[in-house]
Amino acid sequence: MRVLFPCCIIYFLAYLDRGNLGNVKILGAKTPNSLENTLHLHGKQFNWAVSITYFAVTAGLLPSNIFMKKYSAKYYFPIVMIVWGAMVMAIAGVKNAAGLLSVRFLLGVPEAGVVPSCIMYFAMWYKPSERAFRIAIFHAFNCVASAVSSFLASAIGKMEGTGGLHAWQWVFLIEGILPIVLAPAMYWTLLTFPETSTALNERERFIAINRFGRGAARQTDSTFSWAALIRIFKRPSTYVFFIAQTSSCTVAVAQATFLPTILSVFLKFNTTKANIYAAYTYIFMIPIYPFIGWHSDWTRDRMWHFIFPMVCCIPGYAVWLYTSTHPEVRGTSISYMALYGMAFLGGMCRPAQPVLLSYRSSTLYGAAEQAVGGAAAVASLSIASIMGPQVRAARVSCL
Amino acid sequence: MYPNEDAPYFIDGFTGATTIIACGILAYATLPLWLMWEANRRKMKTGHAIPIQAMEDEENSQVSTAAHDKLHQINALAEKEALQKESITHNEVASFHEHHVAKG
Repeated sequence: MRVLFPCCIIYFLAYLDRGNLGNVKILGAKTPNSLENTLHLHGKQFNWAVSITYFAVTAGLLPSNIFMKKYSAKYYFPIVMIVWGAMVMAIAGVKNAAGLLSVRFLLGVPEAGVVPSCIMYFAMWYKPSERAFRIAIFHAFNCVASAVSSFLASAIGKMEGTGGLHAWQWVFLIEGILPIVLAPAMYWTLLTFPETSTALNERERFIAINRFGRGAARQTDSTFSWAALIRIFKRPSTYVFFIAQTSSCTVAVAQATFLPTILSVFLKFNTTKANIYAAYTYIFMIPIYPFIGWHSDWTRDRMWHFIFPMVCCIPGYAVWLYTSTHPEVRGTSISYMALYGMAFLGGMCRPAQPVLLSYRSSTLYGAAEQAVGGAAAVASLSIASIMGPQVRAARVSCL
Repeated sequence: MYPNEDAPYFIDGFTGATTIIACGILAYATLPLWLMWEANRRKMKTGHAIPIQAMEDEENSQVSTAAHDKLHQINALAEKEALQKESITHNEVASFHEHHVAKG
């Protein structure tokens, strides 16, 4: 509990602060008080502000895993939270586009550590057969953050002009102070390693350490070695995991970004209805994540629990594709609500991801491999996140 | 993936999504083969299916006979203390011992 729960809070805050730009964009849109008009953003600058963070995140994945191993989660996560909280608050103070871009880039540096380090942290405390459920709960907080983010932004949107600040500045100030305030609480709850934690007595420590078999990631392992890095990149499974994770993430990110658009133009929902109905798909996903994770642990299967949700995705997109090529069936033989239901199937690629990550982390030997291999698998999420907004901005139908 | 020009029918986007998912499934389905191949290659090279580094790490870890001995000492101490605190019948001592053996 003291391992999983704080990590979920950290992920929630990290995602809130990383993804808030999209919600902030629509605050006071088309008035002089909006983010874009105050900072005189034009063209693709906004899309770049979104993507630039992920460049730093991708570069920082491996170093942050190594720091986490070196200084332990108990010290690493609170420090990272304070740094990124300060960064987000700094966004409220930026005066122009260059400032926004640089702060967003710097924000990626502390945020890089959150996902891979939590996966690695789980690898040190949980057995391979317990991980999928934990990682799934952890991922479900991504959906919680997406839902809360839009709600929070619209609530804070009413503060326009308070204290001489714009609504968007308040969003960054409030969402930036949250991790700073919670950092000490994380310090008190998080545990270091089974080997060194002062929260365990000797017997508990013995159990915590000896639960693992050979090849588990441990505090006593070497933190990093080039040999481990080379070994990981020589293993073909690294690339296969990467391809599978990228395919799932790309579709998930594209759907997350464009679902409101698809609902409004393809299914002819109005804007409000499109946003609310898009949010329903997230809320529906929240219990699916832990269920698939738990079932995967219970049956000790990592293969079908990835493939089955992914296969669910295909009819969803296939029906949408069929309707696009045969527009006459839309609203006649296939009702609009049935087409909307396909969005739920299409979202099924998301709960497959924790299963993949736990399979990956249990096929790595030792802390150094865990750091490199974990970072390589998680990199696909940030690569998908870079591609998402950029592909749209460039207006290239590359796929 | 879903550019505005394609609206309202995102043929390219939906085709892309379906293809990507299919590729992902196929790639993932071959994983056990790759992992097995890796393990076999390690076995041929070093004689062990797991990397040498993992075996070195295991030696450094606290999962050792020394650690086991230490736990036995701790268990014995705890048992002694419990015996001193209250006079316990023989049966209870036995069950206490069993309990700890099961736990450890």
